[in-house]
Amino acid sequence: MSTVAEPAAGASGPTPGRGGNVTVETRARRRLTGLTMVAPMLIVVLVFMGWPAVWTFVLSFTNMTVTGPTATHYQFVGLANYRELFTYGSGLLDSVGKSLYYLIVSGYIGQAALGFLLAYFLSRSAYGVRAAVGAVVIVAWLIPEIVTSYMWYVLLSDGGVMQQGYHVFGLNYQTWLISNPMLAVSLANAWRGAAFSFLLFSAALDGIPNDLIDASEVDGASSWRRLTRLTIPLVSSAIVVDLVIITLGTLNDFSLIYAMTGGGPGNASNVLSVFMYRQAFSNYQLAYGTAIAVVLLLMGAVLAALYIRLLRRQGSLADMR
Amino acid sequence: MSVLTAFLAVVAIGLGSSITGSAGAAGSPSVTLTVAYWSGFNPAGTNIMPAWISASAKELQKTYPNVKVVGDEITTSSESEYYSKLDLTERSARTAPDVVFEDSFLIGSDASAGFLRPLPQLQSWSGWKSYYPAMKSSVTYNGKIYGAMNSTDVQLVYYSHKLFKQAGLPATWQPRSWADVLSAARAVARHDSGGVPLGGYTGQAVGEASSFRGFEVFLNGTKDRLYDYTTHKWEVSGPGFDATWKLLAQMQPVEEPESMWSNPLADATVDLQLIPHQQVGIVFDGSWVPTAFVPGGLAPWPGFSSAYGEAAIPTQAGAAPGSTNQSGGWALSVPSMASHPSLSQAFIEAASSAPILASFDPASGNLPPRVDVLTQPAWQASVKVNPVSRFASAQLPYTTFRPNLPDYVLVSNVIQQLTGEISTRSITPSQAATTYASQVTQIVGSGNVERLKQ
Repeated sequence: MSTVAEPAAGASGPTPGRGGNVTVETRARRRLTGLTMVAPMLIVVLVFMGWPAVWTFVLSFTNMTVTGPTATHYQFVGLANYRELFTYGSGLLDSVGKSLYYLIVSGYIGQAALGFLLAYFLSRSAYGVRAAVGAVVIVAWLIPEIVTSYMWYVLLSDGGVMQQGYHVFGLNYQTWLISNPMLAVSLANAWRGAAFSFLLFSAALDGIPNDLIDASEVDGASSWRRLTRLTIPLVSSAIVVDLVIITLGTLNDFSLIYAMTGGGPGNASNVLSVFMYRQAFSNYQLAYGTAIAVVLLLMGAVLAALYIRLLRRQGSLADMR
Repeated sequence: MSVLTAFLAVVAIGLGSSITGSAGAAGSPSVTLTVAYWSGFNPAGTNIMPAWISASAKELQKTYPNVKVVGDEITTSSESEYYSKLDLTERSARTAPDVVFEDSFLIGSDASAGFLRPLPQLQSWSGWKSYYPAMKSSVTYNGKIYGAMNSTDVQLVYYSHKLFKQAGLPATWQPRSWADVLSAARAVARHDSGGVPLGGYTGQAVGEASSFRGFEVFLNGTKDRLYDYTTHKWEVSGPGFDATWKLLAQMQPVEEPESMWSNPLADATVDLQLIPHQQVGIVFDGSWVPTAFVPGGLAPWPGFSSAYGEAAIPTQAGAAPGSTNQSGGWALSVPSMASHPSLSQAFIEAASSAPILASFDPASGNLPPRVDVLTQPAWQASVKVNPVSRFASAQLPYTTFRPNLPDYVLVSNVIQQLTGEISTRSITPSQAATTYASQVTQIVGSGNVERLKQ
């Protein structure tokens, strides 16, 4: 590949002899032009995204509160917030566990896996089925999150649709929002979010050349073998993109859980994002809340880096590079 | 030349604007005051806050005709979120309202943050001497006044005549001790399996209500208090604390199920669903509950007075004076960053005058913080419609107030959390006592606590 590419690149560039300095100048000019064009966006990103992130990090080392003497006269307290956070009984471990549950059940299983399976089976279905199921899934995604939360609240709460349904069959309904709130919010989030993975995987599956599938069928590969050895490796870049986006989106999800359960009952659905909000804005411990935000940020970053690394090691990301 | 032209143009523009500015000031331009308040005080379908602000603005305009007043409704589902939003607006001159409407328990905390402006001139205001003593101390922090109360309440025990009759309990009831309450609730439970024997507040979902009405009002019926004003220390343990945690655990089997108390709308479930259907035997709640049932209220129900009776909250074992109370209430204050502090204070005086409060307090379901409101025609007319307010206002001269200290907000959070954990049986009363002592010590510092012995 490279032996072919290099002369081709040389041929299109300036001719040797009068070109050495010109090439450097041209490259520098191009770089400057590029930088100038990117600059407005870069400034926007640094000011509106970079600065708040840095400020959050800085605040996490202070004792700033929403009200009280330290609301305005706060001091740097070193690692005190982190020490308190990592002390047994702070609630951090419990919240990390709930966030991971939410990520696995609603993110990995409910969104990524379900979205992939939907896309995989629908890609082999008749157009009508594909259009109908696809439309339903996408409509769920189009509904605003707060409306989804309310719909699921009405469905699962005391006296809700689910309870009525159970009563029709003479069954006793244990309010899921109380008896199993994590499962309740995970179902709602999966219902809403599966569409994103479905769309992403549908596009990736459509990109697999038909002759590859046909050739594997001629070679006598079973459906399972075709899926695991052909389809999945070919869409691995889409899988990584999906996992990164879903991990960050699910770990940071707040509004759906807060609207459905408020993090309760008690602390039963107190995932990290709700734990952070409660500490910062209900308990008024602003700096302590920012320390939780930093932990949440690091968790997402570590997981995202892990996916990319694992898949790179398998060499399946060649097409991404 | 072009630089000179530009310079002259800039000077001309500057002069023009300064001339306009001074002319405006001389002609007393209209000033707009913004009054920030919580949506929870203005439920859908009502017009309580805009009506009060508009009536107060008219009163203010008699002296300051060019002052306009606009209400800024801050919408949040819970009270604590409202305080967070309000405190964040008070941080900057660009966002600070001119007048803030906040629960008086937050005044000490906000004053210590430097968010509120001391208003010493209120002492020379003619209305000040009419306030009940507890209402003056509730807006005072470190010896300085930070606002004026406009509403208050007392806590009561409501009991269902129907369920009491079924359980063989008296038609007119005044419990003399906690034991009387428990035995009545258990009797109701034995005779009415479908309803809720005892309704109260517990857990973090309902916020401050759980510490106030779910714990402190009972603790005040013992010899212990949250804060000892003589030693200036927080009491973190003692026989009264132990007894109160135990009482909450004893109430748990007869109180409403977790699905009812574990959401921010728990009070609406008890007050607006269970009470009108006479499905709750005993309810510990504020004096505002019957306001929903008067004509024009949220759920008009003329039968309330004949369906439920009201009683004072008993002390632990009937010790004098036989009943106990604690009052909350809201005040108007001026943020430090407000642009027109003297006009803000003039608005507060107008909005807190006796004739204005005589309309606002009954409409918002509150009791007046000033004794002279009780003789106003509007208040007397409201008592005829809502007789409970006569019984409730009679408790006002003897009521108490929460510690008006910055740390109270954090201590209250600990109480909310522990009441919820007792209600879910996650902890025992003795574990609650130990956790309370250690967490409050951590919040206020070990040099600021005292432990009462048996």
